[in-house]
Amino acid sequence: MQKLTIAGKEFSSRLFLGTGKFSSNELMEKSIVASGCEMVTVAMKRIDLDNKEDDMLKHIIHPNIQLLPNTSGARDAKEAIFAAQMGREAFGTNWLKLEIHPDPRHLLPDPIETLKATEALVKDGFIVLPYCQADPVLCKHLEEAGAATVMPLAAPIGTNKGLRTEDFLRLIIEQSNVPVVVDAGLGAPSHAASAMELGADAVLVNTAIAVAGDPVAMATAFKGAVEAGRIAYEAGLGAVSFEAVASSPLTAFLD
Amino acid sequence: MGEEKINITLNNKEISIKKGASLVDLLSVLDKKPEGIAFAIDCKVVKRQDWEATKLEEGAQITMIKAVCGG
Repeated sequence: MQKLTIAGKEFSSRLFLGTGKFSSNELMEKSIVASGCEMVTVAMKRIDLDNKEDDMLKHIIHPNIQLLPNTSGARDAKEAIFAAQMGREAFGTNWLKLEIHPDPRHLLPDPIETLKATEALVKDGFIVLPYCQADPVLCKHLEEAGAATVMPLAAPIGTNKGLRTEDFLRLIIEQSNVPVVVDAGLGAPSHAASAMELGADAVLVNTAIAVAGDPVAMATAFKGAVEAGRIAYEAGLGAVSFEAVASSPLTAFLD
Repeated sequence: MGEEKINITLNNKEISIKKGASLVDLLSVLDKKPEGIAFAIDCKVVKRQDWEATKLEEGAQITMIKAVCGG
């Protein structure tokens, strides 16, 4: 399996993990280890002085793991830029998952604000991985604005619906000069394998693993699926035919 | 005579702290470790290396965030 390079950094794993929704930090850590992933997303919130919560960072800080702070909660470019700058100080990295979703009902990304914020953040030295609609036109604009990847959605966040945007993802993958990370909505290892077979460079999974009956086992399953899908893509999938094509010789031997 | 105090707002909650305190002092008063923390004063992000030199002023609006899990 070829290595993935984003902004000059090499990744052996093409599975990125979100850290939300796990029932405990211990389970999250075990799932990260089982997944073999080298990139995990993290979020921020205003500190609650009365609440002594467990420090989540100690469960994910590892030399092989790139932290990817997100801007979740930002409703426009201005809020996202502020969140990005806070994230850079909090996590000590200029890598950023840019996400701007103004409406909590569907959590769909705002394309105009995402493009504006990408332009500004790239100029400010960030490595920007924007979460975006599976829109080939928008993805091309984001690439031209200096995004390190594009991260089009498969389906709305947390829905586990799979590759609802497959036709558009195909176009994005075909045209893209930056890695394409399929983010959001992948609900089963088979969805992830399909995305990789299409030629996606990586997938980002959170809910499907975090809320599984056994998250550690599900992380293992996703790891296998992502590898299988990628190896299949690199091997070159056979052509689809509408008529049967015999796999055994049809020369008559009973005549 | 006790040490002079100033009032600041931390995440929309008013607290008092000794005059001349820095962001590093604030962390210490709150008994928080610096890892995974970021500060903004009056909506302007303060770089980590400037925490020590940044003295809090009366009425400062401080935003303090911490790392949490998220997708």
